[in-house]
Amino acid sequence: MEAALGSRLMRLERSARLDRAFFFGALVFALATAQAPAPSNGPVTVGGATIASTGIVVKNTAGVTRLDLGIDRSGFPSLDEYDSGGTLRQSMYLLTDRPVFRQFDAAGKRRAELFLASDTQNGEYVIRDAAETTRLAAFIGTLGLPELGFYGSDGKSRAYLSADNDGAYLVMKDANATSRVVMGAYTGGKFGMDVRNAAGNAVWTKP
Amino acid sequence: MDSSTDISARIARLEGSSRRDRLLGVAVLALVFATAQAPGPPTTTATTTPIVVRDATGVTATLTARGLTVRDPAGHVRSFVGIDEGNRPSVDLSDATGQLRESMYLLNELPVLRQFDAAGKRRAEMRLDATNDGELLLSDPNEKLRLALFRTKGGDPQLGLYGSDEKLRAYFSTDDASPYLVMRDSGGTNRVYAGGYQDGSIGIDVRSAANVVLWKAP
Repeated sequence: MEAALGSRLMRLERSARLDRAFFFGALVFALATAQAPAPSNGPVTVGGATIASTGIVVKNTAGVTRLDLGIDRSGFPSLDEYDSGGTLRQSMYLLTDRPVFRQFDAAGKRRAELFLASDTQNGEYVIRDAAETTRLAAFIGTLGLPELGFYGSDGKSRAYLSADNDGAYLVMKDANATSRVVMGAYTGGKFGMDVRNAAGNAVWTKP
Repeated sequence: MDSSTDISARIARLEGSSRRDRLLGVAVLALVFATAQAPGPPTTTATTTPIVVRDATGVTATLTARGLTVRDPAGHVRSFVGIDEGNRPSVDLSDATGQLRESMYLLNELPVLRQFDAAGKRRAEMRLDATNDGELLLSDPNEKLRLALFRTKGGDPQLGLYGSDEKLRAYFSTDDASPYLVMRDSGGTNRVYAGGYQDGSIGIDVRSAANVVLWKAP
């Protein structure tokens, strides 16, 4: 009788040790794996969106990147939007810490942008043609004066309207960059207007 | 007899302990399988803990309930997309010093793209104004407005150029009748006028500092 009880006892003691080990093993496993998401070193992907250390990339069902935000390959923070062909069409970024908002055509040419100049940090809005030649610009120039400029297909100025604190002036030029019409405030404070010939000589002045 | 009683008590205690341990083990395992196993394709994953993705260079992306923040190895926030501290949806880009340099957001529910210089001054922005008309604004380092493209309160398109005192020096606009260009001096007096007059005529004139017409045509 005692021998049988002793045998049961030994079996139970062994079973209890196993059960306890099993319990603690399960608990350790739960703690190690079942807690709220811990910091991850690898990218996290949900469908077409991937969060990597440098930001997020969203691809369409064809696998074409349509949007990315973060730090780009050059190390600049950026937000880029791509068309269905994968061509960059719109970008907002810091180019060597200079803010730029740029829009591209389907050929990848820069067609419109708003940015701060690298030297003065003055704002500029520029519209370019398909050859990426500037045709219109609204900006604050190197002297700190606001200006609207129109440009030919050669990229040369044809007209500009500007102003300093004394007054404003409008200048129209020919293809050779000669001023042909000047209107507004002249150097010295006088206001008026004149028309000039191709040599730049005034042929009509008022008042 | 005493020995048998003692052994029986020990057995009963062990049996109870064994059942309890087994039950606990099964419960913990059930919890593991119920909550923590390999992620399937859930329709929604909710967590209150940020997800941090880090690479060897020290660049990190952190996804929180507010949005996604990317930091450089120095720990400076360089880009952010999400809901900002003012509860506005926003995309923010910051330079290597952590200074905000470009931001696209909804300010009082109105869209704004704003560019800042290294000193943090607003220098260029595109936005919709309170009447939802588009504007392009360029400002100098003192945040004084120097150039603006916008629609007037009357709805007319206008280009305005401003002095360092932020007062108009020139504006070029048009109403449905005709366009007009006005140039002013530092005193705010119109000195050159070209285009459509309020009486419907079109012409051009030059005026003195006292606003007296010096010359007019036709």
